[in-house]
Amino acid sequence: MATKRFGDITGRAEAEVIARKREAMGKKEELRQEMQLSRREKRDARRAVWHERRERAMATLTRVKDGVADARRKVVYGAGAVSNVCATAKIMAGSPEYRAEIADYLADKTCDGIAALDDTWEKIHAEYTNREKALIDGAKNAWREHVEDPVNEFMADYGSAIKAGTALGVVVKGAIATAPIWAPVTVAAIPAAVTGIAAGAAVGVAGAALAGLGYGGYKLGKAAVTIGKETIEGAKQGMADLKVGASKFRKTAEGVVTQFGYALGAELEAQIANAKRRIETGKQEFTRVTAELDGMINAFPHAAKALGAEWLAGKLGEKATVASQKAETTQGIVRPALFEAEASLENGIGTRLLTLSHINRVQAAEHRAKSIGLSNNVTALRASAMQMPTMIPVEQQVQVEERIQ
Amino acid sequence: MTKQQLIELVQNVHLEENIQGLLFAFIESVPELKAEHVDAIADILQYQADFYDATADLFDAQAEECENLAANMQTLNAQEQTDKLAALKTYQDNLVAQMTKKLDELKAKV
Repeated sequence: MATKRFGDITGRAEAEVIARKREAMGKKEELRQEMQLSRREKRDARRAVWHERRERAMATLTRVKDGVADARRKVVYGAGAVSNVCATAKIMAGSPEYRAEIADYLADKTCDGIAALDDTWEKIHAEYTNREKALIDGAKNAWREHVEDPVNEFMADYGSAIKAGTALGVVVKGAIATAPIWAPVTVAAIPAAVTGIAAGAAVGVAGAALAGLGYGGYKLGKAAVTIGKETIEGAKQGMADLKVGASKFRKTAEGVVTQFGYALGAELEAQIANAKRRIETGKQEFTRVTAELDGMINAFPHAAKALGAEWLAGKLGEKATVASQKAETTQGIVRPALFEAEASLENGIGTRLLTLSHINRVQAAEHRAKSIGLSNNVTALRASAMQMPTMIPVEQQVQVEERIQ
Repeated sequence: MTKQQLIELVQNVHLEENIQGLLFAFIESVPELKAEHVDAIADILQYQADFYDATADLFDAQAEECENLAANMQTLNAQEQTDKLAALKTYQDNLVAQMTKKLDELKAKV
């Protein structure tokens, strides 16, 4: 029985130690899993913030690129329009065969071109300087003053002159055409008058009158011829004068148009060069800003990583400090408790051993008492047996033993 | 001594139960109790007494071992304590084995 109890006590002690170890290891594993889960959640949150910032930066860069590309398209379009107007002006100014038609052409086309140019430049360069606006306005006004209005006036006068010349030509031509008719009639009337004078005195005054009338007719006829000739010459001279005037006016208009065309071309070329410089500057600025943004975006993950690492290192340092302090505190608590537990365990084991020793001593004493009691009964039994009858008489037994010997 | 007196004696002494049963059966089987029969029972009781002496020695030895362990516990480390406790358990197992062997020998003699 004592042996069985000792085995139970030892077994329970071992089971308790194992159970406590398992409980401690379970708590430690649970704490480790909680810390691991917390770290994973924080890491995912940081990654989400970095991803959102990167997406916003990429969206901003895309908008900037689109805006710059749109501005670039508009500038290129404006430059193309200016170039076309400039080329047209050059062609018109440098081609003599078109100078006669330049008034109508420029009056319609160039005004539209200037309006389109003005509109284009105003759209592209909303912040255009007042000086440049004034320059364009001045060009437009100069064009109207020196080209458009004189050309219109010239065209009006030229049309009237042509009409007047044409009507006068018709009259002169009619006079010239009828003059041969008038002259023979007048010449034919002269003999009739002479005949009248010679035929009759009776005719008298009538004859004389007729003669005078005939003479007058003759004179009138001659005068009519002269007038007709002079009229024809005057008409010719008038036509020549009109042509000379028209030619002079045309040359003047051509000169003005040519001069302004070159001036406009030069100004437009200057504007185009200026626009090109601005485009180049814009391109360079765009390239620089794009490179800077790309650099910022490319550097962003590294910077974020560096910041994250720095932050993480700081946090880890703080945690390490806290853990160290906790460890020291825990050590301060656990170590005495451990010593106390060890001492308690030793005392407990010692106490149990002494108890077991006491039990063994008691059992040993009991067994010795039983042995003594049994020995006393054995002595009593042997004394009784000496007095009891035997299965073979003692004398026979002695004889048998003697014979054997 | 009569059979009844012998039976009462066997009932009053400290014997293992199986041995006691064997002795009762033996006494009942004897038609007339003779001195040899009583001597034989005295021998058996003496065997039992020797067995109790032997077990008492073993218990004393075990008690001494426990006392030594308790006295030396402060100087032993955990491994040594474990080893000592294991050795004590082995000693206990051997003690049980010896007791069993003694009893078997007694049974054989009976």
